[in-house]
Amino acid sequence: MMQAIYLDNAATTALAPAVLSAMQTQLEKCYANPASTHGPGRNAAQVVAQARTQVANLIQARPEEIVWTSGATEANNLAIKGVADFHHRQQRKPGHIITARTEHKAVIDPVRDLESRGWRVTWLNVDAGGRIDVPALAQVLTHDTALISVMHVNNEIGVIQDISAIARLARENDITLHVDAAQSLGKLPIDVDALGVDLLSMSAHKLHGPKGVGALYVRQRPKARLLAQIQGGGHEQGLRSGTLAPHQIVGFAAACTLAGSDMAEEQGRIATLRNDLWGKLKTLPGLIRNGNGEKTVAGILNISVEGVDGEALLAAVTGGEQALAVSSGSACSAARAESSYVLRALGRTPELAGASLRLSLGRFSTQADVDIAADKISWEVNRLRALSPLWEVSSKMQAAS
Amino acid sequence: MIYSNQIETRFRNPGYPGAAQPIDLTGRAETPGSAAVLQLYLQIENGRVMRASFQAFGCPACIAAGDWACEWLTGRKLVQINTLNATQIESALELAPAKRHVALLVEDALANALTNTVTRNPP
Repeated sequence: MMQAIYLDNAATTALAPAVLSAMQTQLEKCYANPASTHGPGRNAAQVVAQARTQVANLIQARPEEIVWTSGATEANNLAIKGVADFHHRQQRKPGHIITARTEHKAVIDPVRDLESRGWRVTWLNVDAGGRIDVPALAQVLTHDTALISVMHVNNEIGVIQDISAIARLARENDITLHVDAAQSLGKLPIDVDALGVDLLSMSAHKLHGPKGVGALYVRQRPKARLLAQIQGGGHEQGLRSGTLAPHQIVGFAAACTLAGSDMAEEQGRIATLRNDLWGKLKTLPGLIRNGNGEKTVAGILNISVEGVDGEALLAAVTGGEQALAVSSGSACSAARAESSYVLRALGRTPELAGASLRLSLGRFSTQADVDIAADKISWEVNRLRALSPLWEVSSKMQAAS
Repeated sequence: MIYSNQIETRFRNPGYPGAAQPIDLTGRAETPGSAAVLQLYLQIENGRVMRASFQAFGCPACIAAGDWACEWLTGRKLVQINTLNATQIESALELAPAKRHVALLVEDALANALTNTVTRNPP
């Protein structure tokens, strides 16, 4: 079978050669436990310390502010439940959390869990472009708001939230701000001090690093207060126990260094490819771009297609000749009620939310990928519409009006 | 979702697409909310289906079911048509339980066609 054109870099990315090589060296030569006090253990600890600095450098943090985790999902859980548990212990009662309806499930699910444990939650709506209205956020702050959790870049539509403005509000009201940066790390310049975040979740595999490793940035001054969620040895300043995996950690660090070395140039190249893809696709009638295109990260293009079934669209473009590897807002079962909650939060109908494609580019995406993808999607959309007894009617009605 | 070979092949390359003229009978069925719509078009000569074609809006299984039905219908006597039932379609297309509604869609479209005569335009 021919290899698919990979345009699903928001789901995960291929390892960069520099990352693979760093990891191989580590796996072959350095197997000691970094917590051991003997020579090989100290060597491993040194490797981890160097990696910690590399990751910290990408977000302008101090190395001691990086807590290794298994990925962004764990980092989100540690941040959200950790802050909530600390607040609960101090105040002897649950408090209030603010987050958005368009967050990743790795934020929504832990927040829902807290809701079931007595926390009050404000689920912020977003505008038609996917952005949070910051003045509206200011209106929902209460005396016991313990945490605001907002993602930097949305994983489905790529929209960038105004973190600085939200951080100012949080700081003025002495509220901890957590930011899920899984989709922005290595793609947007991040300076945790300039942005004003207290906790920031990171993942290695979204920027050509390995799966299974990530980190939580935990501000030291003023100190972000949270309780560990995984206990057993007191590693990572007591915030995340468990033997560290140096080969994963050096892979993450190599990916961060690579991303930091050519970010502006590489993101510029990717934005040009993405814009070209949209330019080609929008010549098709009945195509809608999801999310505020002016405030979108370079690598993501999300479109809804009128007049086709979501499941058929995804099956069509991901199979056959020149198959694409892309994601969609359609649930596998194509049950309308399960189509993308992010797209529905923008006001899309369940049908349009279901008949959507997320095309996400990365370091290894090429002009040829874009050309093939545009041709394949156009061809399949035209084919499915030609088969449909509804499209002819609706296009005639549009022509008449 | 993983599709059976029957569904995959017929979805990618249906043999009976469109509304082939002339049309003597046509039948339409849809699921609630028009999530899936199937329309069959039949040309009848001497009490037999000379040609069948279809249009469909829906998932790959829905499109494949329309195509399979047209193949089955072609050449059959009109009196045989109502012997086609959902179980036959389910088994021919190896439909997953979640997709059994597309077999009913074919049954309904066919039943509708048998009551829906189209007057041919004079040549």
